[in-house]
Amino acid sequence: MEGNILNVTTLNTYINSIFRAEELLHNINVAGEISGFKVTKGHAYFTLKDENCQIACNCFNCAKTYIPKDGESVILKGSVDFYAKGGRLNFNVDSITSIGKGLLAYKLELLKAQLNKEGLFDIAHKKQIPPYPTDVCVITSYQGAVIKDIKKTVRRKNDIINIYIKDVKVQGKDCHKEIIDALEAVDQMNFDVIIIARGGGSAEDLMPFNEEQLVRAIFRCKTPIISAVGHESDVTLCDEVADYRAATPTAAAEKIAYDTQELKEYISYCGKRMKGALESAVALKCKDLNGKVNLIKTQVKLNFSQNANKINSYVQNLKNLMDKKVAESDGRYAASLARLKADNPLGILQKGYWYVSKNGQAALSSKDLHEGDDVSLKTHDGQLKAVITEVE
Amino acid sequence: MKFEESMKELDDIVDKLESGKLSLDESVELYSKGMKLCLECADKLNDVKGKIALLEESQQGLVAKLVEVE
Repeated sequence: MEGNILNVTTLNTYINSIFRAEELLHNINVAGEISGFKVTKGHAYFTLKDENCQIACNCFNCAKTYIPKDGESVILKGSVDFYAKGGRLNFNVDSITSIGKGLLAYKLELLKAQLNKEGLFDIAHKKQIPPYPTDVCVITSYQGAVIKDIKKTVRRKNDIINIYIKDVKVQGKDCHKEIIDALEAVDQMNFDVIIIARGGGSAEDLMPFNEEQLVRAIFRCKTPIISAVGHESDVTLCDEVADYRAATPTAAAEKIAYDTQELKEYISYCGKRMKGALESAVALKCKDLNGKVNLIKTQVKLNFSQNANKINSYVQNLKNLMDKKVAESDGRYAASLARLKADNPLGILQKGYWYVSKNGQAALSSKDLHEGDDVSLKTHDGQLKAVITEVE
Repeated sequence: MKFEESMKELDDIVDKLESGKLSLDESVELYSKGMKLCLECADKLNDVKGKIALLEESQQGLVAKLVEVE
């Protein structure tokens, strides 16, 4: 046997030293497609391949970098390493960058900037989500858990909202077209709110919700739109353009589901407030009216007091005038009485004259009487009957 | 009127009544209208039960078919 005999350790250590020494194999970027990607105890193990060759790869503490999927095209940064103990050649990966993702992300940023410039994301265009909807349409996959979550969340506190489901595909390259058709159809049906919902997924799964046509279709809708796509951390262009972005489908359900019991109490409270407001209005008017009445009373009293002296004076004048008239009347009465007394025929009788009458007619002349006539004689204190015995 | 609109009108009426800027006649009229709305809304909350329906294509366009969701 010729030449030195090496043990395996010596050989592998030697190979390792060659790989370590070769600068061209350190800190290099290698492009290829991921295959057999798996993570064990925080370390990723997979194969990078192209159409002809492949190389085993390790990525220790892989949480530090992008986690690719099988079949994804990536660029790996790292160094070639020969693992002496196992006698295996590996590529030790420091970081992974998705070629597709990088390109898509760039295109997405461009689209987002363009739509933003056009004003599609402006707050001024956001329609208010009605606080008390009764008819809500959910555009989602009927098969998924989304609709169950929404129903459960809504019904927990609200039993009057009608939930209409428009079943669409929410995954796949062209699913956005189906969503657009559904959106345009249900936008004509006068729903209070439309929710576009999808459960969580990878960035690639959610890419249809970044499609320009879908974003523009949402912008054109007259119905308020809630976007509930993916998880909290996933923000799609659908979320940006929608009138309200819910972090999850459950959050969208929370947004629309008002508590019916609380609402009943609120309505009752509105009734009490209206009653109170009306009572206050009436009380205010009464107070106003009382004020005016008091004002009039005060004014009347003032007027009366101002005019009282004048009235007293009038009364006094009137009284004086009356007294004077009465006094004058008294004088005239006394004079009349005196005259009356003077003219009284009875006054003459008191002087000794007698009044002679025959058959009720005054006998003013001796010629009126004849012998044998019955005559009446009246004195101041009585009446006598006599017979004429002789006429001379 | 949709429930949503009734509730909005109710809120508006309460605000107007509480503003104190109305004549007594206007207040009484709004109060009557508001109380009627209160009753209508409360009736709806008490009487109506929400449904779950699947929208399906038909010759008349989309029609709602009631479904059960667990």
